[in-house]
Amino acid sequence: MSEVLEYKCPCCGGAIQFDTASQQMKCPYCDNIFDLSTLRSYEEEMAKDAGDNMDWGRPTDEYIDPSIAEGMRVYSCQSCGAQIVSDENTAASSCPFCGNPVVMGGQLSGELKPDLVIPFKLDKNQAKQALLNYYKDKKLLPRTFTNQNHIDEIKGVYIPFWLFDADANAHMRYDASTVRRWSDEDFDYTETSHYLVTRSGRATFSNIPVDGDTKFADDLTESIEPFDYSQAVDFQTAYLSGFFADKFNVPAEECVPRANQRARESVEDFFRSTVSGYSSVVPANSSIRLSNGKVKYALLPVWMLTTRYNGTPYTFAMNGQTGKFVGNLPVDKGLYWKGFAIRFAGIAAAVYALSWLLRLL
Amino acid sequence: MKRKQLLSFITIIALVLLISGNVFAEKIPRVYDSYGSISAQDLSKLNQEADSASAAVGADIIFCLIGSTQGKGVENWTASYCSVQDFSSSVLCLAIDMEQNVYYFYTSGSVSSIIGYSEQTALWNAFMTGNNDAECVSEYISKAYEILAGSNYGGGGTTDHPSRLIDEVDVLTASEEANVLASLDAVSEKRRCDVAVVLVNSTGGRDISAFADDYYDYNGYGYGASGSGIMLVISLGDSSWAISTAGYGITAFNDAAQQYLMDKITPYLSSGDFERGFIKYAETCDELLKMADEGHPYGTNNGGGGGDDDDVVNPAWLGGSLGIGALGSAIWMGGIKSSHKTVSRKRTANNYFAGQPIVDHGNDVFLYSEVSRVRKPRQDNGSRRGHDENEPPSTTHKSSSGRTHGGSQGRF
Repeated sequence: MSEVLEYKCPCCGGAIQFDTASQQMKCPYCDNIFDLSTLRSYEEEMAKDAGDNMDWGRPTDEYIDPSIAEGMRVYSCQSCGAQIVSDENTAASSCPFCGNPVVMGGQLSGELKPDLVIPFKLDKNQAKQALLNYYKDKKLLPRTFTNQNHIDEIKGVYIPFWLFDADANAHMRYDASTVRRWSDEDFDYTETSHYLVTRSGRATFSNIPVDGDTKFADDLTESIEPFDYSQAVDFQTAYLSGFFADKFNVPAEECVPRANQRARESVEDFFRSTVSGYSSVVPANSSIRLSNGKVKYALLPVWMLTTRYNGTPYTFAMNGQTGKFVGNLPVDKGLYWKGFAIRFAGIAAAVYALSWLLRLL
Repeated sequence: MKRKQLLSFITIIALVLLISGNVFAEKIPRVYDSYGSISAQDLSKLNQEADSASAAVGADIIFCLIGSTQGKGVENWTASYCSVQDFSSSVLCLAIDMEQNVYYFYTSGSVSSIIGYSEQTALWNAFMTGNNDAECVSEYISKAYEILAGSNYGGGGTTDHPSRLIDEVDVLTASEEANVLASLDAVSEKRRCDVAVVLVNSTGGRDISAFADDYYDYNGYGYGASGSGIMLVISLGDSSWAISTAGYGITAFNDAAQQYLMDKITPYLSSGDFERGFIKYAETCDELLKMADEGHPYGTNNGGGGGDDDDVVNPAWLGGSLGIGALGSAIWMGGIKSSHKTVSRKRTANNYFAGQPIVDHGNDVFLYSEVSRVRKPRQDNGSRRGHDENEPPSTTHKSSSGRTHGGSQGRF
């Protein structure tokens, strides 16, 4: 059985969770707040207690229920003893029976321990409100869509990311030209002047994030960027309490090409912006060398909700630190064409009236 | 023995006479006066002067004061004199027909490529500065030497390109000339279009626009393969000016642009502040060339016309309104629909620059230019369209060289 961590309130023994507002551990039952170091000391002392050895023949750690699919793991809830089945990457979850938050410490220790974490700054109520605000201005949203949302199922998830740092040295070459035209009585002339343009320089990148979990769509996790890494802290499992979390299942090496691609695009865009005054500029050669590369493993906070409408899943995500909300919404075709027709008639009538007025003048 | 000696003696005498005959034959004068207004003594001195100058420049500098061409005409007479007589293949000759009161410049060989219209004007002007006939000829010879020897005549410029500032009247001091020339050269190189100024005392009775065209053509003005440029000629004697444009200059300095340009500098010319006026000329040309380079020559009119008939329901306008309505509505609804899709991959990592990227080195190198042309379609009346209907008008004409120029003229 993997190691499962639960944090109990020193006052009332309830399952204590990380509170986004105070950025400390808070007991939802007695409202007491404890800082992380205090709680850690309490847990260490409590762990020294020896419990009764009442062997009722419970399954051993080596027992593997054949009905459990490959890639799954079984944990035992410390509060109610229920068995929690989750996939092999889950690092934090909640007990489906008693609702207590659980952290699978073994998933995030040793070599798997994240370098840093950005704690949740926004709570569930703020996430739910953000979702409602997101729907508000959407004129083409089917009216029944919001009725079918399970908004309470929105959950806070720590998503594993790889953060890449590097220095980039670039040398760019462009073929540029200017065009001049003139005429005389007999001919139209075109003069094209060709130039060789070169630019060299450097740039430093810090914390380019790449999603390290295949469970979350990359376009969704990139859409909620950026995170403010100045608020990142050293990882402690206590931050995960009350939230869901996964460890990475995509190694850093497989994420390097994506970081490289984004860095390259940025460097090419920057140097291209320094070439001006030409009719056309065509990149001829691009040489970008990266050095001093570093990789960090981080858990970043995201509020997520997946809902279905007409058989199609729609996933929404909110940056748990900044509140940026993204998600694709369905479009009601009837509303679309109705809006099109009204606007078409209005614009056509306005243009025709204006043209008639100009002719009168 | 005596017979042989006698024959030898006679042979020697004959040879001596033959050689001495050639030696004492009449020397071909470079300064010729059949009219009789130059004294023999002055004529001798002038010939010495012409001989020295000719030897120095490697070409014959000739002056002919003709009493009568005997019906040949000054051109034919001069051509005969310079060709038949024993002169070199490179000849510069000023001939004055006192019977017809005309003067004529004859050139041949390499001199022809050096002596253009402006040089002829300079030579005539120099001739006219003398107080009497002998001094006039002497001034002419000095000026001819100066031009052919490639000395300070022209006020600078490279061997490959004529100077963009010609001050024949010396109204500018040396430092003022340097300032103006620097401005003209800077604009010309930056915009790849010659911007030039010529100051003369008079055009010798010629139309100032024709004078400007010919000065431009025959002195090698024009930038690059297109020969583009603008030249401002100012005649101080009668306070007149003319502009000649060529190549891309015809488009950049259209009729409206020329009016704008002269409105800017005429006050300076009228007040005699030529240095500031010419610097303003360079600055305004830069401004007009910039506008043309950006695709909007001075005076570009983007306004449209009205309807072409008075019907209340005009099918063309109706169709256009419907089209605009459909397009506008599609764009509007597209914007609303796009707000429903906020999930997309990030193309760049611009949010993750640590500090500002730095450009260590940049280089823009001109390689080459190429000019292509397309013949304009003829209109029904056989004429060609003078210019693109969407461009401001630029009146053009053909100069004496056959080249197309734009231009205008006026007084200040």
